Amino acid sequence: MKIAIASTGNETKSRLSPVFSRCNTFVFFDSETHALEFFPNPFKNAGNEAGNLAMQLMVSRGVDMVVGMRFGQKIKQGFDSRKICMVIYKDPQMEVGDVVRLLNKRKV
Amino acid sequence: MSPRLKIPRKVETLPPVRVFAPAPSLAQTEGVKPVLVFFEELEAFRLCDYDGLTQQQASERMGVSRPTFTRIYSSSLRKIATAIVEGRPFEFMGGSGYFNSDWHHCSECGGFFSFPLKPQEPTACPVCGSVHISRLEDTFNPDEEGDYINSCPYCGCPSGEGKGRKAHSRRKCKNCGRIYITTSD
Repeated sequence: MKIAIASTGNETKSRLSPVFSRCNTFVFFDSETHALEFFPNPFKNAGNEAGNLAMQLMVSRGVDMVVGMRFGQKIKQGFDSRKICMVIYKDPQMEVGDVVRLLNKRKV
Repeated sequence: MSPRLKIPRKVETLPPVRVFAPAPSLAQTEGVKPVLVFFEELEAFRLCDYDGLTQQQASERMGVSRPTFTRIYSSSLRKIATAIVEGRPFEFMGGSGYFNSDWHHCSECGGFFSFPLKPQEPTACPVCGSVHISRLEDTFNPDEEGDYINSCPYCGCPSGEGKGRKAHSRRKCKNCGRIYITTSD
């Protein structure tokens, strides 16, 4: 299972990004190999349709779950029809490492 | 004058197969045009005849009026009858439906998650694996709780300068000086 986390920076101590499609970095986590990949968001400063472009990136990467703090209005329908699960954490202190720890805990 | 836009119909489940065809030994499928059944027509057929709801209840589930639902439903019956009588395959595609899943809340990790694999129900939180989860109301909107729309995406600073106070306006962050757009994307 592949998970994408919207992060504000490129380390595990970075916090979750307040806006999913305009985050600084997407963190791709593979729950089988436990590998983390930090991918700079190419659509950070996209004028329009950043949500759509980010969703296409998720689909091309084969992501099964996306984690963020806030998603746009239109993105949920797209993720639902592609059977991608959305997870929202409202806690602004939440770090990428915390999410990864929760995901690893589940495996055990 | 262009016609009025259709209200998008809420579709809960995708069809299990893309094409539903007669047995190949009995029918010459080559050159036979399939009947196109839209997702919302299949949904109307499923709600009424498989789940056994009344048209009033089913129209509420799909977010359309009862007369509109009846039109969608009769169109689905006509298409299915055409396919059976003429021995043609069905193909499920298109239409003006949209998919919408329910929100669930995990009380252990505090996360909200959507579960798109309807009609199954989630048994555990997809992140922490806890079984202490609850389904939220249909009216739940995750954007309403907490106000992150007006904060800077780079440093999280809540105050920004710029024209307008609504979404899609340009702001300059007081703290880090970077320009961002308050957006709902």
